Amino acid sequence: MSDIFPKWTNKLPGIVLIGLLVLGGIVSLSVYYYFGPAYARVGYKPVQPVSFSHSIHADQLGLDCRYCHNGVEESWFSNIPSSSTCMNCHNQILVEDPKLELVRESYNEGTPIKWVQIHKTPDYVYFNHAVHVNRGVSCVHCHGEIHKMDEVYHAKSFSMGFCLECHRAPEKKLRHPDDVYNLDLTKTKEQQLTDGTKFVHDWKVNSSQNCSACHR
Amino acid sequence: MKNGHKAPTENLSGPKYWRSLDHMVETDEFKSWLNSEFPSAAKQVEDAPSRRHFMKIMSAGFVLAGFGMTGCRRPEELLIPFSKGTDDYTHGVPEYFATSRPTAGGALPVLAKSADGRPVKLDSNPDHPDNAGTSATTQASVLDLYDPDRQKKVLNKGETVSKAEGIEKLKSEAQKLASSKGEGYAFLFDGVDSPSRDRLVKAMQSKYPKATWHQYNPSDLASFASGNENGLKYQPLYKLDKAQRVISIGSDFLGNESNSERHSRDFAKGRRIASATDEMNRLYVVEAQLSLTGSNADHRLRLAPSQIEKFAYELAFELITQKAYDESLISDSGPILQELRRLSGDENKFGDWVKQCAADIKATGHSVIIPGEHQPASVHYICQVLNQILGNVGDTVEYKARDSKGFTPINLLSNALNNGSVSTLIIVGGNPVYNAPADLNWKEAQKKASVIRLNTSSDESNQGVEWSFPKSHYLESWGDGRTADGTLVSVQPLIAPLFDSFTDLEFLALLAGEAETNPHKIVQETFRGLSQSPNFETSWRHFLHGGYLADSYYRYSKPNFNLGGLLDQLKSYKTKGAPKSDALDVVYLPDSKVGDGEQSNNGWLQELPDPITKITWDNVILMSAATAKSLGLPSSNRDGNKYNIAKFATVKLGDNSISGPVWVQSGFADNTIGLIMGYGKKEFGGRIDSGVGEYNASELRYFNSPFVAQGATVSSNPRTEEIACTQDHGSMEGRPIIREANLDQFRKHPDFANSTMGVASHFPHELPAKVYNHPYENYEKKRKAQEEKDGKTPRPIIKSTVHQWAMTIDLNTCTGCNACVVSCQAENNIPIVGKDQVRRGREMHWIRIDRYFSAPVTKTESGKVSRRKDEELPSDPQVSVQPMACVQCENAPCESVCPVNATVHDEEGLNLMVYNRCVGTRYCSNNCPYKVRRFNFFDYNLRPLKDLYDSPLTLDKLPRRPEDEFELMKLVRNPDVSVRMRGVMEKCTYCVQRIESAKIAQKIKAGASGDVQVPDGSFQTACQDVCSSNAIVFGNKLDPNSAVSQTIKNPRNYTVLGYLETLPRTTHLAKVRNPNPQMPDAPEIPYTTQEYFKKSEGDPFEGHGHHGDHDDHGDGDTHKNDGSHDTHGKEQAH
Repeated sequence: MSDIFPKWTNKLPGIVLIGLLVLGGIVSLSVYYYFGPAYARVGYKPVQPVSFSHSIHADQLGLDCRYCHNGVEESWFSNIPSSSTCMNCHNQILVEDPKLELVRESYNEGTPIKWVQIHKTPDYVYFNHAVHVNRGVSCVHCHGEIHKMDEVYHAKSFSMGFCLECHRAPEKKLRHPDDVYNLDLTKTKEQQLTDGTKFVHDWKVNSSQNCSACHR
Repeated sequence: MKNGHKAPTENLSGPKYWRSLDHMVETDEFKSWLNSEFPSAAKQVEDAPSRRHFMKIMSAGFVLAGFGMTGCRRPEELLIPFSKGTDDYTHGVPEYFATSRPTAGGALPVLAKSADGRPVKLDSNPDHPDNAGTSATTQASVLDLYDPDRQKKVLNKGETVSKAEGIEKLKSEAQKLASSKGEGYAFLFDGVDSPSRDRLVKAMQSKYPKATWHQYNPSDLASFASGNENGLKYQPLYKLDKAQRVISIGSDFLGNESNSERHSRDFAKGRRIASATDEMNRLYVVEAQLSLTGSNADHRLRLAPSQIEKFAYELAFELITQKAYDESLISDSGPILQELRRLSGDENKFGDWVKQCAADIKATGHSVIIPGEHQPASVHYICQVLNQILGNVGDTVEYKARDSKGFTPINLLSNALNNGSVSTLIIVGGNPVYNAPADLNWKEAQKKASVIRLNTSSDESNQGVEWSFPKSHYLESWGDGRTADGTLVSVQPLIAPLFDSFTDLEFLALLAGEAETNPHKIVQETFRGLSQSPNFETSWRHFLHGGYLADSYYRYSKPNFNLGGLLDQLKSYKTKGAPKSDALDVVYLPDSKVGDGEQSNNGWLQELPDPITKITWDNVILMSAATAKSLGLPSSNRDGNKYNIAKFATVKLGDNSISGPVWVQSGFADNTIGLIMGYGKKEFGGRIDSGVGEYNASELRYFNSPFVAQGATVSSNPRTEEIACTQDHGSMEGRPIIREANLDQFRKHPDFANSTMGVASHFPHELPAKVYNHPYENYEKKRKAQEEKDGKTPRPIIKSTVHQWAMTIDLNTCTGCNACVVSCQAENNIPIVGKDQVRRGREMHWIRIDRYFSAPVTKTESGKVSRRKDEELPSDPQVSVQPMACVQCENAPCESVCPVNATVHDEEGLNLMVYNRCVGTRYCSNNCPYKVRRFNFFDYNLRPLKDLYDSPLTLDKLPRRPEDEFELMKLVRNPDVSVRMRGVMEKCTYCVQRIESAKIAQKIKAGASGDVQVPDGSFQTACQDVCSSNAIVFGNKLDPNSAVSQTIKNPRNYTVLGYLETLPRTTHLAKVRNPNPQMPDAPEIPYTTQEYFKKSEGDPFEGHGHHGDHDDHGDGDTHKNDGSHDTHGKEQAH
């Protein structure tokens, strides 16, 4: 009587077991990463309607952040500039550039440009730009080296842990408000700690870790 | 999916696929082959897919889509900036505009908040010289802007037409008016006027001299009078801050009458006492219904409405007899006294009450006598005379001649309509079919003319009209107005009109045939005339910025009330007989919330509990327990163990009758019934008010007896209904929840609230055990332990040394007006829940106003306190009100029971509610001794209130609020506060969004400096801001100079349920009453205090010592349990 099952089937339970373990591992790991706070859209880089480069404008040309994002010091919201802001320069520079067609059209026709939002906190989080930039938190702390980006992407995870990291130890990040828009500022760790500790003390910085700081 | 997929046409671009050449050319052979080989399949291809098939395909599609997890990706969201930027707008920064709300009694200045272009909240205008907070109705008026039932388009015979056609119509009508000089035209206005409107009306009156001009405001006495009556010739402006004695003759000046905000503000100034030497004013009230003013009275006399005028004459008699006036003014008082006695009737009717009241007025320098707005002209006249002879004119009251502006009452108009002399009727505002007196039969009268109407919604009066023009809300209009004292205020738009609506100025200018019809320009033109400023542009900018024109208040001249004519006038008066149980008095009461129905489609107001009855979503027939008994009706509002059950009754008066639920009201005059106006809208109401309330009081109202009628009969009716009342129990059961003393007791024991009442007064040293551990104390222990151990300080605990928030609520100045409740609702996105849910005790208001009735207590022979068993409601109760919101306990009992840390403490003393953590166990609410937590039993924002109980199990599709309603309601939401969903607990957070905004603003200002403490007064909580009497004080108690630090030091400051050691941050200032000891009804001790002391067998204020063995928390022998006090515990207790 010949074998009903070929010989290799002897190993089948083992293969199935290992396969299941591997599969389970992959599922667990991906859930752990993608559903966890560390992911939080890091790397998200949607295609924007206009291929605006922060690297050219902010880094090479040295435009101040607040030239375009002029509401950042007053409002919770750091505004996207209106097309007329672009046209302040681009009615003289690259007047005919096809890449700017949409901007010109928007300016002339009054139709807004639909930018894709990248950095977003959930609706139940009341983040406020103004209080951060006025009290020594720089753009780079949350947005990464945005002035080096050709296309903006989500550089840091906007998880609650990320916020609390600074709120628990503000001295590690705090700068003088004059340096907030100097995105290239570098300090040694020791220097930062010395300055930061002084700032926290002198300015009575109390970066709240209470729920009410963000959730209302 | 009833249409089959059509075959693509040849014009389709892109590649075309085929399986064979035959297929490609679609030969007949190929088709027949297809049909024969797979006949069933071919049928499916050709036929429209069946529903079943469609479901199969689609569900398979959904499964596949699920594998791709497209649903798990976050949706792509867009950021859409302006194409051309503006200089004066920063997205995310709220803007504030000084504007004002036009009302019949005068414009009310407000500071309107615009969040990204949407008006969301009205605050009081602190810059305005006459700022007096705002009322509940003003607070709710922002919701009217987004009312989905507003008329959206111009209607011609019910058909929608364009706005341009409407304008053409008005222009052609103006030509007809001009050519006929107004012959055959009649105009009917509501009572809301403004300088610009007056200017346009005046222009029309001279241009169209043959037209007739009428005004009808259902709650204004002048709308029912010829205007020639002595007494109505002058309009008063009271200055209650100067008055030491206030006598109200049927007036609800603190509550339901115009300018109650100013009155509350000024009246409170005489009641805010902090030390034993402070003076306090005294309020005498004579009235029929228990009004808000009556509930704040030191002495209150309950009189049938028809008898109130007799009291006025008797008071005059007494004042003249006691010579409480400048005797040179009346030379021969004998005949006058004789006439007064004839009018007042019986000498002993009011007994000592009126004698002592008059003596008190005489003994005090500054008094004021206030006749009710709805009292007959004769009462106004006698009060004006009394104020004059007492020397009050120019001191506590000023008078200004009333200008009828050429308007005549509505009865003349209905006569003209009925005799056919009016061919075209132009109605500007108002809803006469709904609220005109029944005997005018307005519905029929209106049909006799062609009607052009400017109106808010397609209501009763819109049926059968020729043209109907939607009216703009004041937050989308240009306009102007005058406040009560005459200050010119601006009305400016915060948003472009949401619909094709017209402002009244635009409408009138078009009808007037004016060249300028732009309301902005019209207002500017009026302002140019009134301001007389050489630099128009600057003064106009100032006017808009501050919201008022400085020094534009009325200049008062001292009127002479012609005392010489007094005798003749008195001789012409007659008084009415007293009511009997078969001929009852009827008093018509504009509702405290929806008025005469103008705001009845406003959900915030419908759900607001009436300040006295605490009834929501309904109108009732009010009467006293004795009257109910004599009419064979139940003398309490319950049926066995079921509370808030009202039996119906039918009221007949004249030829008409109405039926409604009977509500037995303590403090109501006997043989009198109260009918509440503003309800009973049927099919023409909106989605909120249609079907709300059982009757329309106007159906039983007659032109000649608009506010008080006589001779009504009542018969019982088999129906009963459960009323949605938020506080069925009005007693504190002898517990010192509210602490009260009379002024002389306060003078002896300024700290009576703590030294003689409450558990603390019985345990002079220390409480035996603490119920909860204090978090800050725990930290101290922990710190000490750790420092001893390793010299390190543990992580700093939650305690800010910069801000510690606290609030005090002064029960002496709080009138219970409800403004804070609606203000909180608007600020904090609090939903309404509907009548059915309120019946279940699920209302969502974060701040509630507890209203308690108290009556004298007697002891039985056994020595036990005899308590009423709710069978008889006290007929002359004392009323105490107490606003109660989350008191922000430091030792919060709610926090220790939350399994998910959704309610936690912050470092500034706030008890936070973290909505996105809450899982809805409701443990916190059960453990809250103050019962101030609110639970979202349903998704009130998303679901229609009538469909709350439907679910996917009972319906195919989840019910959702209609799209138009949902989209409009979204606009009124405060963007700084999360909108809570189903299953989430919520409560007062001291307006944490305002606190955080203020802190952020201060930090921005501080920049690189340490100046981070928010200055006192730089922001206010929503409830504090609107409070006319400034009873609510909020601030930082670490700042020794802050207002709240001062009020905390007030000896009257006490903690509610302090023995629980919850250490609340909100404390109350005890109430002090100021009765006149000579008065016959003067209680030795306030009734609530009597109850407390009698129970403890202690001697109230003399020789404190023996208090007997009682505890603070209820008695257990006569009453169910503590829950009986808890007015909101019905639901939470389950």
